[in-house]
Amino acid sequence: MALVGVFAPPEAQVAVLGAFVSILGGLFLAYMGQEAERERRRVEQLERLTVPLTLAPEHDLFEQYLAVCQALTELASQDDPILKEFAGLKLASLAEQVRGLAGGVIEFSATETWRTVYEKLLKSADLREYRSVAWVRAKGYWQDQPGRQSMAANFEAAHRGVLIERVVILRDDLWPKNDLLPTDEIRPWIEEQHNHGLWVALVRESDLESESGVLADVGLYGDRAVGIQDLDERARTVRFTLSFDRQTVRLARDRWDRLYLFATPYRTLLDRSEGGR
Amino acid sequence: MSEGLYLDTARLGRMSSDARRAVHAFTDLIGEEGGSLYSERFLRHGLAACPTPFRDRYPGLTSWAGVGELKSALRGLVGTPSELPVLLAHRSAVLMRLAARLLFHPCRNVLVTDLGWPGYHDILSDVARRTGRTVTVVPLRDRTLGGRAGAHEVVEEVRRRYSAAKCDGLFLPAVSNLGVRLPLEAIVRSVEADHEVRFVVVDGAQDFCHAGADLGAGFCDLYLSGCHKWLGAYHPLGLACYGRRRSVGVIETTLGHLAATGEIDDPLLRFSAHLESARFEPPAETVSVVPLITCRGAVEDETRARADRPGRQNHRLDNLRATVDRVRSTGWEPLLPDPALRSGILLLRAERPVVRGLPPDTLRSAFQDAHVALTAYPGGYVRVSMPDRLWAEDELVRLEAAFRSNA
Repeated sequence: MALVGVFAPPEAQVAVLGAFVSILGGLFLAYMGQEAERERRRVEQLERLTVPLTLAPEHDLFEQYLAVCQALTELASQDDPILKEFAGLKLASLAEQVRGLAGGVIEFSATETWRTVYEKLLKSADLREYRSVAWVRAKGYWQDQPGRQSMAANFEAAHRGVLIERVVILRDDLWPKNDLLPTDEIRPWIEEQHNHGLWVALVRESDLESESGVLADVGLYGDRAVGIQDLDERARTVRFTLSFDRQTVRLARDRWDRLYLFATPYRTLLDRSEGGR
Repeated sequence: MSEGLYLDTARLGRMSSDARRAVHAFTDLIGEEGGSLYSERFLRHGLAACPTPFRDRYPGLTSWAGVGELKSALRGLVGTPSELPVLLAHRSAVLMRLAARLLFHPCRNVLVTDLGWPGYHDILSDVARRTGRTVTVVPLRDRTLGGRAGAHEVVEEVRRRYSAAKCDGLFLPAVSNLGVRLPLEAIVRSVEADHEVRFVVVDGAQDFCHAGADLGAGFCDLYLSGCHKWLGAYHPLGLACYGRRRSVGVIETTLGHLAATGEIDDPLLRFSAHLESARFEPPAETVSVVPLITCRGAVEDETRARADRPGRQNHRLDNLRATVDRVRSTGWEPLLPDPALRSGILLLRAERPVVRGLPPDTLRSAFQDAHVALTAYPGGYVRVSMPDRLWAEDELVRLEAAFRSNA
């Protein structure tokens, strides 16, 4: 290249110089790319280090974090491949659940333990309003022992000053088309709520056929959370999902407002019924 | 004062003649019998349930037939169906507390007007504050007392404000303490036509046995009143009449809860319920039943007066017009609502600043010196409660003289 610089004609010298500059540029860009990758890895490492710092003030979470870390470390020392394979699967499922919790969602499956959280929310001092949708598909709806206990929590909250509004969706066999009031199989349950000061409104399930997304058992705890209950045909809880996500709460409120347009207040039905005045 | 004009019924009515007879006889009874078996039977079932010598001894108590019968008679006076309960309590403020809780069970925002009784509004606002709810106040006083709003305007204004503030409950006086009579049923029906009205409470303190709202039409859930003003029982006795069958369950349940937690603690409320039904426990303290006895006597007078003189409310309005004509040029300005909003209460204001500056007690005493009993307020206002029989000419002359001498 030095010989070209000395003896070659000027055109060749320019071409060689150009090639030289290109090589230098390429090397510089490659260096920059590697530096960016190194920086990204450094940040990632730092972020991992900051996780415990973020958790440290949250004592309950931090303790769980340490327990999980310790258990994982112990798990790493196990050498059975089958154990490790199934541990991986279980941990993936656990990670999914924790991600759900981080997104503000708690899920209870095939258990009535969700009622503990439900009643705790109803008892919380800052709860001023509770709206619910009761999709009654069986006459025994919320009338077993856990259900009655939850109703008692409703009544206690209403007497404490929580405004409770409930839309009850009824099948036609529980509220026949031509009847002003629901049948005696479900009416005492509705009447009791009405008497305890809950604002109850009724709608027939058949009147909601063209409305999508309103048939559900839902509870709205002010603007704080929304609970969705899935029941089997015998009114037993299959799953209860509680979400503290603002967007989910807002959507549930919109659905409740839409459903309320179809509902008739129980007091109005009492007025309309014979001797209701 | 017997030769004077008693025009202060809106504050405290004079005791009616049968109420006086009843209380005299009852005083004799408790002097003779104390708390004997008969006195208990008497309280529970009335004089007719006692042996003949006992009945003959206390003829002034003939009208007393037990608490159940008293409540039935009171229902007759307000026009509620016979099966709807009535509550009796020593203090009407206790019943207002119950009403406030009932309103804020289902309501987010209760509409009231500035014609309401401030003491009751304080109770309502207190419950609203504790439960995070709202009270919306509609200003009507100046427009109605100035004669600038009729019944239609009042209905429209309430409907408009109810809609704008997204209210869902009503607490309204049937007749304000300053004499404005609200078209209650028209207001409720108008609002109900377009909006959800979850609970309606009416303050009938100045209405009961005066303007006479008819609750038979079923436009309110609870009607509160007292017996010491226009009924003429003298002894304070709070009264709450249920107005709709649909509300019976919620009122009973709420009352039971508030009594159990001690939030409502009125011995007479408990005792009257106990006398009516053994289901209710008696209070743990001795209760004065004199208000019940005088109330029954006054109800007897009122029932008779309604039958004998069906036009007496018109007499009050005639008296009001005659009063306005007489005192208009005496240095007092009558604040006269639209004819549809008038009651038997007239508010007047002194024209001279010096009179307006007088303390109410001084003003009231000045009228008493002129043999006229009325209510006085700061700012030179006086309130005159019209009698239910037409003025005699000499009474109007004395009334005019009293106003002229205090102008």
